Parts: sequence; structure tokens; C-alpha cells
Amino acid sequence: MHPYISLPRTAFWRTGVAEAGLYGLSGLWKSPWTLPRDAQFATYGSCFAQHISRALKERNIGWVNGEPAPGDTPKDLAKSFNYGVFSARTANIYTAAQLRLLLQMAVGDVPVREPELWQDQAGGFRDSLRPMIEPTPFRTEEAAIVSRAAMVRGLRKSVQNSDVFVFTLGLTEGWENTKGQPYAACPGTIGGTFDPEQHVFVNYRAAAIREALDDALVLLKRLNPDIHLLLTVSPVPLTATASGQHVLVATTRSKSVLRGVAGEIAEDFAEVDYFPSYEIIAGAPTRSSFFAPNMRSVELAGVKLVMRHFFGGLNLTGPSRHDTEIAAAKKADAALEQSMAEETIVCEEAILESYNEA
Amino acid sequence: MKPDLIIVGDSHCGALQSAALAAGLKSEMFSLSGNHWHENQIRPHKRWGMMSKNRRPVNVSISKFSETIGGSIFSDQTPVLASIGYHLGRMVPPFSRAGHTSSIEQAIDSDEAFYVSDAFVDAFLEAKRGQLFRLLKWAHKRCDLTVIAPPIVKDHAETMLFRDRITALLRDEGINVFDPFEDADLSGRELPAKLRAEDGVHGNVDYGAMVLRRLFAENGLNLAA
Repeated sequence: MHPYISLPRTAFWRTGVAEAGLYGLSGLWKSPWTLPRDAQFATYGSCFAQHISRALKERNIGWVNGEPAPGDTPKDLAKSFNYGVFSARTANIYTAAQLRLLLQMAVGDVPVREPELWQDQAGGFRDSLRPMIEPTPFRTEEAAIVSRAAMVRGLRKSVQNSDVFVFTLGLTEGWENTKGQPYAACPGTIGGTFDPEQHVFVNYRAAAIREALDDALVLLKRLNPDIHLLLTVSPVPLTATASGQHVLVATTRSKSVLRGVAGEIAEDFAEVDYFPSYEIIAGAPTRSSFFAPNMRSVELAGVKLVMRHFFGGLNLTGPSRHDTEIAAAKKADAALEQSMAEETIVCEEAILESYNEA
Repeated sequence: MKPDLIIVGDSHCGALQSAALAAGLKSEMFSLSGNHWHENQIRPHKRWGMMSKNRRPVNVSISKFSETIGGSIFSDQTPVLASIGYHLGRMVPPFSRAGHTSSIEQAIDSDEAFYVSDAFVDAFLEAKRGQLFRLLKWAHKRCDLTVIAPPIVKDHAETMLFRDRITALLRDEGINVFDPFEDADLSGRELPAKLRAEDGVHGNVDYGAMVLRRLFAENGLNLAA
């Protein structure tokens, strides 16, 4: 007798992968948590995280929108201003360091004004944490700051109102200023001006990423002691590397480190889990077939398969937790509709009366 | 027979029309519910002056009105007063429902507010009122058009900001906008009770008369055109 005798078919490559085939893979992920039937999810991270937001919305599963677009905003307009992409308008959060900074602002440990703004030549201002959050720069410094404050408020609300914080790790490479503030992008690429004396390339190592995620978990729990953290790793390769390595090698380094850290923190905390979207898209069974011809973008079929495993592994059988807040929101909406309907009647009566020449 | 004056727009037309008739003017009014204007589907029409893209009954009404006045609503024959382009009661409450504000001061003062940038507000207004703005711009080139800003019936910050922004956008297009609340006695105030209709949200005939008096006296509305 030895331990391998009693293992399931999924523990062996031949039966678990080779014979099962890509669409026959099963048991890749099973949520360790029994979540409420009306569980609420907040979604953040690199661009692949957008697929999770979208899939939750499509399935009418609770997706928290902490910073919604103003009511009646057309969908295209909302999207062009990055409303509804993530649970607040953080834009893509590529690194764990960025996530930590945003959560530090959400709990009040870092003033909202502290991270840099970038002024462009025309006098407009971009947020160094989300330089492309709007199609055009903010007209004033104050506008950029209060917009960031709205995002921070939305992030805080989304954490407080969710059961699961889904975070997709994207990159190990990033840029910081000399004080250690991480940027969303290298200054000069999509905003700001690059200054080699002020801007520092960082290729975060596993220990630094783990420290940032540990801090992030503490900050999340300060906002919501019951929150769960579900980590994924984006399978999307790097667009470019500043590491000096070939981009293919740099991509493997980046994804390997992220995958390793995500797995270890999930092993260490019961409230943290890892969902294997990376393996589903980039693993050997796909033979890279889910990548578009540019070998970087992920095709819809791959996203669908990821989501099939995601929703198949969720356990939403716990008692409801959000009945009251959902009912309150519906009641508020109904009250507004009623008030507007009453005003419409008043206005239509006013029109009729104005034709009364008696 | 050609009228002296055409009044066109939403329910705020009533006060102006009542005042115009009381003053002995041959005024004709064409009024649609704010909901129709809010749909942002009314656009220029060569023969009638305007038409709805999606409401046949509205077009029947417009064509009948066009017959009554003997041609287009917007022609060089008759001055036009328009309460078109605002319709704030349909737009602002949903916009600000979740705490959104375009005021930096409001956003700083409130823990519940979500600041919305000027660029977003302009894009939002384009999406919600763009067709009406284009209608007014088109009409402005064809007739003596004055847009009348709606009365302020409630000092609601976001409503005021939208009202002011729409006025500014119309004026940027060269459209003549008359805002009675820019005059010293009404500036910064809600519509006084004595000038309100019974429903409390429209001006009454006295308000309409005041607007017309000021238009004639201060803004040179030319009925002889």
C-alpha cells in the first residue's frame, strides 16, 4: 500500500487531463466556502478580471457596484468612462502593491490626496493610479482628487457590501516613484512624463507580493471581517517587459511568481482561495488554442470555459444575507419612479389646462 | 393666419401662452409632455419644423399645428419662444439617485457623494439632450428663437448645476437663452409662491406675464418680424 493507490482519477495526468480532454476536465476547482444564495462579489484586478464582472452580471449573480454610473447613463457612455467595468472605477489593478495602496486609502491610512497626479501640457490632470479612467484629463487638480475620492469610496463600499473579493493578479513588473508609490503604468506611456531620476522600475519578487497581499487581506478584513478573498492569475502575457529579458521569459517569470504566491496564501488562510483561470487558459490541455492570433488576447471560447468551471465550483447554498439591502434598494428605486410618475401627471395636467381658454 | 408669437415646448409653455393671450397677442402654442422631449427623439423637419423619430401620434399633432400656423414652427415669419432642452425633472433625479454630483464642493462636503466630472456631464447631456440641442441650433438659424430657461421651483443643487450647464451649452451654440432667474430680483431664489401655479411646480400667468414683459423690455423680442 502507498498513498497513490487511493487517489482519485483527477490526481493522475493520464486520467485527469490526457484522456479527459480539454472540455472533459472536471474538479479543477471547488469553492471551500458555503456562500449565501444571494452572495455578492466584488471584482478587481488586471484586465482579465473584467470577464468575471461581466459573467456575474450576465448570470444575474450578485455583483457589487460600489461606484455605479449615474442613473440612466447609456451603456456605451458608462463604459467609456469606466463605470461598471470593476466594482469601483479603479481601472486595471495590475500589481499587489497597487491593490494595497488603494485599500490603504479605503481604510483611511493613506490620504486620498497623497498619490501623484500627472499634469499634461494642456493643463489637464490625470490620476497616476488610473491615468485613462476618463477619455480626457480632468480640468482641474481638485476635480481629479474628488474623482479619486469617489473611487475610493466606491471601493470601500464594494468591500463592505460583498461576500467575496475577487482579485486577478496581472503583473510582477511595475513602476514606482522614489517614495515607493506604485503607478498604474510607466510615466510617459499613457500620461505623465518619464523622469529616470524619479521613476523606478520594479520587478516585484515573491516575498514582496506576498507581503502586499497579506497587508491587503488585513485591510479588507478591517472593512469587512466576513470577507473572502478569491485570487486568480491573469493568463494574458505581458505586452512588454522592462526587465531586460525576452518578453516570453519575462512572462513566464511573472506568471509563475504570481501563481506561486497566490497558491501559498490560499494554503495559509481559510478565507483565501485560488481559482485556476490561469491553468484553464494557459495550461497544456489547451495547446494555446484559446489565445487569439496575436498569442496574447484570450478568445471568448476560453473565457466561457473559465466561467463554466467558476460557476460550476461555486457553492451558493447558504442562507441569504442581503435580503434587507436588496429590498431597500428596490424600495428606493420604486419610490423614485413613483415620484417621477406623479410629476409626469402634474405636467400633463398642466399642458391640458393651458389649452383651456375658458 | 400667421400668429404673432409661437410658444413651443413642455408644460412650462402654459404660463407663457396664458400671459400672451391675456396680453392680446395672437399666440399659438404647441406643447408636449416633458417625457416626449426627454426621449431625445424630436428632430428638425423641413415642412413642419420638427418631428418625432418614433412617435407617430406626436407627428400627427405637429402636422396639425403646422397647418394651424400655416407652415413650419420655425420660420422667419414668427418669433418663437421655446421651453425645450431642459426637462430636468426627468433627468436629474435618476442621475443623482445614488449620490452623484457634478459639484466639487458638494462632493467634498458629503461622505455619500460621487463626483462626476464636467466631461462626463457634457457627454451625458449630449446623450440625453443632443437631438434637442441640434433641433434648437437648426431652428435658431431659421427664426427669431428664444429659449426660456425653466422656473426654479426647488433649490436642488444638482438641478441647478444641470440647468446652468444646459444654458451655457445652448449659448455656446449662439442660441439666445432668456433666464428670468438671472435678473437681480429672482437671482439665487426659488420661484415665489405668488408666481406659482396651483400645482407648485409651474409658473402661473403672472409669472408668464413677467417673463414676456422682460423679454419685450430687456431683450427686444420683435413681434413685427
